[in-house]
Amino acid sequence: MTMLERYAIFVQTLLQKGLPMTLKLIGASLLFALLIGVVFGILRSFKLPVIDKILGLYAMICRGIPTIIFLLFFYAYFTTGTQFWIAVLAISLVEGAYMMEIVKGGLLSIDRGQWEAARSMSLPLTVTIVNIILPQVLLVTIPALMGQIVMLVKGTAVAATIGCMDVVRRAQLLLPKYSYPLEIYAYVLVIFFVMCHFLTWLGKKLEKTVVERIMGEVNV
Amino acid sequence: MTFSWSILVQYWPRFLSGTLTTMKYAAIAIVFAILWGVIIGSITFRSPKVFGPIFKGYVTFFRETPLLVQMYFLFYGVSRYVKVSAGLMGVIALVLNDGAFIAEIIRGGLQSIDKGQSEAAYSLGFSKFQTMIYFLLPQAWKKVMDSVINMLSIIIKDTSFLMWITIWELTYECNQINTYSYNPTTAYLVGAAIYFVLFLLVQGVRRLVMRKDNREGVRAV
Repeated sequence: MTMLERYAIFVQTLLQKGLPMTLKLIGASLLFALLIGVVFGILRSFKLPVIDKILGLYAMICRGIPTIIFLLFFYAYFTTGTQFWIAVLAISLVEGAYMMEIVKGGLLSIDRGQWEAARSMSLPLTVTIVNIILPQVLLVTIPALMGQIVMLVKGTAVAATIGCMDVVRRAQLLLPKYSYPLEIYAYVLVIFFVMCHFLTWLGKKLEKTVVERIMGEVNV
Repeated sequence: MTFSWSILVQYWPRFLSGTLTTMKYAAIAIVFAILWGVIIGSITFRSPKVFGPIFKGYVTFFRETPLLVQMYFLFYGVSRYVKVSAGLMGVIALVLNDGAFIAEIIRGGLQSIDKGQSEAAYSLGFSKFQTMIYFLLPQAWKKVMDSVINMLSIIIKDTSFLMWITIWELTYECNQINTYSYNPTTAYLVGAAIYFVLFLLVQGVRRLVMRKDNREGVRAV
């Protein structure tokens, strides 16, 4: 393979054509997954009788069934809609369930005494939530949430299997023209690794910042 | 499109063979992934001079790249130079990927053990290897068993990726049945239900193991 071919494969096809689609997939899925996770996570922390059971079942279904089944089912079932939105639907549905569990766990980990103490000092509700509850929730959820976001980024690779034109699909389509599967897939692996490693690094940094802000420099 | 029992009955043999293939690959991958994870986890915990950074790099890389692309890389890329069957390549991909996750779990468990344990073992004349086998790993295993069993259900889910490297497992059969019968609801709902039953089985095993563990804890106290 010549350098020119490598340039055409890596820069012109994978980075310029495939990566924007992958980033769009990640952005849209992340938005909806976080929305599902935060809204239902807060809802679950109230422990409402019936709703809690339904959401628990939803979480269990998403933990037990592969994303590909959801993806292929939606792809076969919905006759309208692009591959992009079908992939976003499947990925955000599954990852949203995991995020819901993380948010719920974070909220439930806070002792009721915190709320009561804030109330006994007659702090307004907004101050209680913003200054007392939220920092503690973030302390617990940020490491887990960042891990889940990395899983989501990796999870977007399955969108290629229904024909969404992301990095993986572009790489597959390159194979008939350039017959170097080892190198082409290695590029894809590197692209994903860079994205995920950046997110992991960001998560560690964020965690450190949050800990510093809440607990002070000494405990870092 | 509604659920149809006749399609379920008609294609039941295909569902069954798909389930058996999935279970076969899941069982093999689980056994080797745990073994591989324990070995790699102990090595990265000790962090020897040369192999430490190498295996740490391996764990980081495999944890932060998609399994699907790893499988494509191994099946379409590496298979060209090394002749192995699709099934073996799939198992290798599963073991390398999920083994890296298990290794990280095991390493975390080993790190949470008090240093005094290994020091005590050294002072009694046990070698490094013996300390790891007889003292550290059993203690770490008890701590991380819950996470490892959780990984088992993830491995079962991950076997669905094998369909893209020409292995006729459950998801592939569901896809085929959908193509033949034009009824996605039946095809995928049955597949999803079978995966869910496997998931519940793993959860049952987890509950059983945890209860036994608790009983032992009580007896020890």
